[in-house]
Amino acid sequence: MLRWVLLAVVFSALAGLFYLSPEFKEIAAGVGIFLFGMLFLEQGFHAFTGGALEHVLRHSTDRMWKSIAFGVVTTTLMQSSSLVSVIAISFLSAGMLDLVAGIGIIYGANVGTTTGAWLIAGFGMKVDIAAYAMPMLAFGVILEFQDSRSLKGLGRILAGMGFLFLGIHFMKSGFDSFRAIFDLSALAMTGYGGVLLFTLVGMVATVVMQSSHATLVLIITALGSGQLTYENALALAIGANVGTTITAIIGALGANVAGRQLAAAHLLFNLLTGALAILLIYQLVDGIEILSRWLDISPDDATLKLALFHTLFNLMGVALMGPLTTPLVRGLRLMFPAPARVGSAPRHLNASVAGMPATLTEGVRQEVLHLYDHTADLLLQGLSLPNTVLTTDQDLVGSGELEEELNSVDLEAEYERRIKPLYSEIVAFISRHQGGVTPERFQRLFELRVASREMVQVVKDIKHMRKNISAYHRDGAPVVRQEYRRLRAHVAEQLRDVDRLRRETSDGREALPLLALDANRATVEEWDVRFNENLDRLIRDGLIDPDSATSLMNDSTYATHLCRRLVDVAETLFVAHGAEQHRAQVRMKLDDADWAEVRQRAVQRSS
Amino acid sequence: MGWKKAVAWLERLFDRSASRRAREVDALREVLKLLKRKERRLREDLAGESRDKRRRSLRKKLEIIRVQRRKGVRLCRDLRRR
Repeated sequence: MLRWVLLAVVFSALAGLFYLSPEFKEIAAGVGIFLFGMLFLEQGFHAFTGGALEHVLRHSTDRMWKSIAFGVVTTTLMQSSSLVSVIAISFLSAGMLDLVAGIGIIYGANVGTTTGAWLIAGFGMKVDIAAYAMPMLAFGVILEFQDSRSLKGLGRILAGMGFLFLGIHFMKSGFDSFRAIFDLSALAMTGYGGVLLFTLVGMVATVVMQSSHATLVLIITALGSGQLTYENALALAIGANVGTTITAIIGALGANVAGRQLAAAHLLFNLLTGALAILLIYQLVDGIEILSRWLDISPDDATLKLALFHTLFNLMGVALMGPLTTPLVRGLRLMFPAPARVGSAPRHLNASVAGMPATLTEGVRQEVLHLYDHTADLLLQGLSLPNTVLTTDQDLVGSGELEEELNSVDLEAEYERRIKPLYSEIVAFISRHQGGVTPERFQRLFELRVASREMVQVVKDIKHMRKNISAYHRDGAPVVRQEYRRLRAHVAEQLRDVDRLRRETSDGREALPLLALDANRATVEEWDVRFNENLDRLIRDGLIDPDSATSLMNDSTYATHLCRRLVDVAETLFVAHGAEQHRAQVRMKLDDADWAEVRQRAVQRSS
Repeated sequence: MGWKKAVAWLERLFDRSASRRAREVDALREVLKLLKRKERRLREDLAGESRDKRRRSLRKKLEIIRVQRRKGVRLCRDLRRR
């Protein structure tokens, strides 16, 4: 209700002002068109967040300077530090970035956003910018009608730039006319009181418009037409720099702890930079005079000097905060501690991750990996083997670990506590967010859902096997106990192989994981045949009673299904999808005819 | 650049499916190169391995790589012929 009342009040006030002043109407229309352009620009860049951006992001954020450069370049291109910050928060939430890299991007975005002021002050104020806007809008709209996603995106970017330019033109012309009627500079304030007041005004204006860029355009156009004093314009720019963090804060509300840590870093950086700029404003002004002479900026070109000031105080912030990043990260982790990793609460499924197609699939993959960790742990508990077996290279059949007393794990209770809730969350999250994604991403989400289901089945398989493992380990004949030990060793070794593949793929030692999994498949199938042949021999020779033999047969079937599922899960989770090399591996993966050839050669070798 | 190479380059430039096929061949060749490297590493491991079970597993991996490589070469040849 309050929202509607507020909206009505704002609309009435604006309508009144529009009626009283056509110049104000022109300025407001300029702001509106400018913000509309920003919106178009954001949507246009979103069209490219399905591949290229993630690829660049992953490869250009492994060092602090690279992260900063990435922030500068992307913000310069997109002309929106807020969009870059929100993207960084989403990527961090999805586990595709670490906090240090995210902070580097934020530093860079703060410097990159100052290029907007240079563009407007150096170009927008000196030429008839509307003349450039028209062809951009025309070309942009034509591209918008194309089928290709990339062309559509390009069209949106062009149209967005066109609207930005048109908005600047309207604001400039509005302020020029406004000057003849009312002199806003009469409201100017000097001294620190003025600096603080105008900083606050800049902050509020940016929070309302959710774009420091729009505020800066207003400041520059007002300054260019003499409606603002230079000193007050500097204070407004400081305020705009602080106010811009609001978008990141809103974006972080739906993010996980990592996303919130980054939003807090953004706020801290901008607050500190702002405070420093206020404290040193007069020294900075002196510095700008010297630099302006050096850069050949005319002494009466206040707009370019404002752009220089904007860049200078953000660079000062980076120089100050850059070396303090490590303590900053420590402080943020203390302020926003990661939730204790017990139980199975999801870690990556949140609104921030769902905001972009790339972070959606990667976030879900990370969560399914989380489910895999629980599954692997429960599987080892079901086999009554310690986690250390995953990192050794020993032959488990002969090891003493299989002889030891079995643990007393309650697999049913553990399944209800750790697997089922997480699986349900993953399924619900995918179902909620799969609409509207590209067919490729839809397929990827489907595969991840299937992998989750397979892991649930793995836990159910081990639950079934565990009954006989416990019974025969206690009371079975020596030969039956020995067969159950072989069965347990086989399952643990398959898990170990899959787990090793995960490590080797992530650290780059295994370049072809998809093809490597063919060997795992072969092992699983061969073991099944060998185990059952041995079982036949034991029955034939009367070394095993039929009752125990059928139990072993059933459990070997569970074991084989379980191991096949593990290989399928590995294929979905550990193999990088989508790249050309992945498609080449898919083509070279062995099919039925190839398997027949492998088997035939094995027979030839054994005979 | 030789005449043949220039023609192939122009073909790739103007024919979308030819350029896609060329990308596929490049990717297959890259995978074949990596497989060859892996095969060499596994042969070294096999030479230094004395445990029976591990030797069997390495031999099986080598056998599978052999079939995969043959398949890759065949796919490359087919794509080039098209």
